[in-house]
Amino acid sequence: MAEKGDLKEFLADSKKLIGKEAPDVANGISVVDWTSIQKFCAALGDVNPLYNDMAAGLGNVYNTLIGPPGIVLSARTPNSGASYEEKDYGLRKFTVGVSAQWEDVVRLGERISNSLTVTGVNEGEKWGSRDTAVVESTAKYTTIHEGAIAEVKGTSTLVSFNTGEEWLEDRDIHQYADEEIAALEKDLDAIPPHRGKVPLYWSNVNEGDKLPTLVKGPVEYNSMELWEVAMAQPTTASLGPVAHRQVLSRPGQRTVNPTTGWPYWYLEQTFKDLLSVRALGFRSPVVRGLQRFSLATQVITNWMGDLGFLRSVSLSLPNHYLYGDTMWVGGEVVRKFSENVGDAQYNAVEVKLSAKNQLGQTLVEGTGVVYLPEKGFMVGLPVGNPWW
Amino acid sequence: MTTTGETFESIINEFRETSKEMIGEEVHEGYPLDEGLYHGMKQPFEVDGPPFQSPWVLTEKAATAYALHIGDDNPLYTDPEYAKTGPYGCQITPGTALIMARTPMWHGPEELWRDRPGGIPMANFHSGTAWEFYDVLRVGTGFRTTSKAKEVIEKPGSRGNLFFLISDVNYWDMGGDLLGKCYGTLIMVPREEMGTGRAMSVERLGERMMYEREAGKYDEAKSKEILDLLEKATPRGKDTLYWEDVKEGDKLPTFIVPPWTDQDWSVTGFIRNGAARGYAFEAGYNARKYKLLAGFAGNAYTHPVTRWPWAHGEEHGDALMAAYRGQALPFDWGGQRSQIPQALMSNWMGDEGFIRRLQMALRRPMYYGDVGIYNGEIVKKFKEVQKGEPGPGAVDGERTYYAVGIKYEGRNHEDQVFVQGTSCVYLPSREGGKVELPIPHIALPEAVPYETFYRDWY
Repeated sequence: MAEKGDLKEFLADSKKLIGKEAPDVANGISVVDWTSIQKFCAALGDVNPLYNDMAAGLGNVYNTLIGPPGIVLSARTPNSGASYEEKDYGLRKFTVGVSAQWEDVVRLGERISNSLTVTGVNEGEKWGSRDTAVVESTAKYTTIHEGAIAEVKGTSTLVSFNTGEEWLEDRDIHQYADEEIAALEKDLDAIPPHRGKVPLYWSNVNEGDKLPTLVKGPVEYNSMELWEVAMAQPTTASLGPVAHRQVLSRPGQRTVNPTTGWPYWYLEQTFKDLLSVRALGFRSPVVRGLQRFSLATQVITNWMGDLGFLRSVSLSLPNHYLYGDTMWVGGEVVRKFSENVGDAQYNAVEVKLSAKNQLGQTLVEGTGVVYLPEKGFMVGLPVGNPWW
Repeated sequence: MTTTGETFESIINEFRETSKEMIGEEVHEGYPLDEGLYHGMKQPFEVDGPPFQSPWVLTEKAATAYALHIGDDNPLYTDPEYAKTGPYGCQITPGTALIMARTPMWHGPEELWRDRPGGIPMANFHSGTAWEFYDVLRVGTGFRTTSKAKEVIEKPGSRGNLFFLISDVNYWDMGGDLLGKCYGTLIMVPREEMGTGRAMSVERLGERMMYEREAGKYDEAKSKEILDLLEKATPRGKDTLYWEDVKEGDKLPTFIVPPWTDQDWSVTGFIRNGAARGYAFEAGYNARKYKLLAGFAGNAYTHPVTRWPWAHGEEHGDALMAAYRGQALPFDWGGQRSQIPQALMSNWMGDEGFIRRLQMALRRPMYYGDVGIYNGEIVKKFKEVQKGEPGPGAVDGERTYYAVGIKYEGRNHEDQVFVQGTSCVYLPSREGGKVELPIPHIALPEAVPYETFYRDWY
């Protein structure tokens, strides 16, 4: 029996898992079918036909519908908490950083294999007066024939919390004033459509160019539910008696529902549940870090057009993105360069991404790299070993 | 939403008349799968019909996911290796999975309830299903379906008349064999406080709730009672239950669903085929404001806390939006509850039993925190002869089946009945042998009317 809030035992147990397959994250989808792609797009509010429309897909350079880069997360979420589920350590887990690199697009019907390895376990920075632990886990995604698709590293912070203690975040649902509502409508109406089939050539991009800002909010229950569905985790896809047995087998995920008193409540579902989120340490539901990451990458994919390729994104996810919050995400080109990978040369652009909420708090900081086409030169995929 | 000259009464009258005009017509719910398609996107699935082909194919993974999402981890449904040694030699899934191939619900004319910008001032409740099964659902099965408007019944309610809309749905496999039929019951409740659209003004929110309820509370003693029942609710499995060994008055072992959770509602989105339930963020905003989504495009709600006027109206899952449906708490989806009671029967009957008929009437919502305690009793023991015919879509022959009629109900923690229904289960018999499937039937069995399946339908 672990002592609640004592990170030492958790750290000791978790360090034994470094280099091993993460025991706490199940597989999600194994086939990238239309429904999986559509659900992922729905959760982001991404209506780019490249990802949504079969007819548009057939007319593109990939000869079929593809998924947004983040679709790999549906196969396995890189948010392991190492030994977090094994004992009741009294911890809460949040994704605070994500770094991804892609090698190829994900095509409709692709069968995905994956591995998720615990790659780091350390003490973290203070969360208020609380000690924290940090777990890094790295997912590798391949086709079933071992063609590389992507590698994504997630960083999770684990912090102790028991219901009734000082909040992890003491903030209520934001109420928008009339002028805020008017401004928000204006910003939403100003979002330009995705670039689509009109190529964005590398030579037409300049350092200092701004990417169109996306407006993500106000966050609703539906926004979070769609994400949960898109992630296809079997532990959140079962009902009643089956879900209960799953909770019993995961002591670290078990808590007491603060509304009903039921002592076998699954912590994962507190994130989007207004009536139990207090058990997570919050007054209102919390958007998952991986969703925040994926929303931010959409700024780049909307801008780069169908022929662009998102090579990498590395983001930190400070503060919290809550139910009712709005996130404004923007980007700026900070570097143009060429790079050689394997047999191929790529025309690359580095983009700085940043996001703030309605209170001015930073929600996203980081960069992404995009490979863009040039007249007469396509982006060769898979990266480093183009095959046409 | 107000269209010039329209009033609450005129919309309800139009609904009444146009619903009746639809009787006998194919219902376009579930097919073509255009609900959820964003403006400009093409339908990705086969749309020719009726019968319409379902995009939902019963792979091993789909079969398992289906069973788990209705709270049933019976290995016959979830463990391919176990199932290989069972009576069918392969994994099967509960017959109620047919609902995934097509919803049996009919909400009336889609140009009103679904496509009219702003919707209509009626709250919709999936309030029952009556199933007839002719065979088990084996892994690898694909589906074709038809769904016809069957009956419109108007009944008085405490605050005006209610509309009961009954459908007649047929489910075939891709070879044309009839797997089952379903008669869906959907109640449309006119609500004056909604005005002339589906989303009432936020100022009227909470004015006339359909039920006043608080979430259930569980102390240690109550929790232990639930745990005890959970531990006992296990499938009978390979231990054959013979018809000769049961008698009228026998009680079925209790099946229990622990306090209802947010996840219990969300699981319905996981298994759903076709498009997701709408789009989030700017796509959802544009869909609601500029009507860019097929179906429900103009239904925008004002959020009672954020004050955002273009909110998505997630009445089932969002505790702050449930009042838009007149509910005090998040509540379940009747279509999902229509699938859960099968476990009461299948846990009891064992691997060799076969649910031939399963009817349920939903009496009140199951709310966040409600426990679902399902109990049943054998009220009839009889033999039944099923007769088929030769020809396409039919199964020829004549067989005697050894049947029991079961009356069951589900009660919540406050001892209120939230579902009641009947079932007919065929059991293996020492005299008659195993339950031979498929059940002989004519090519197009007649629909059972509401007045017949509504009560004592064994």
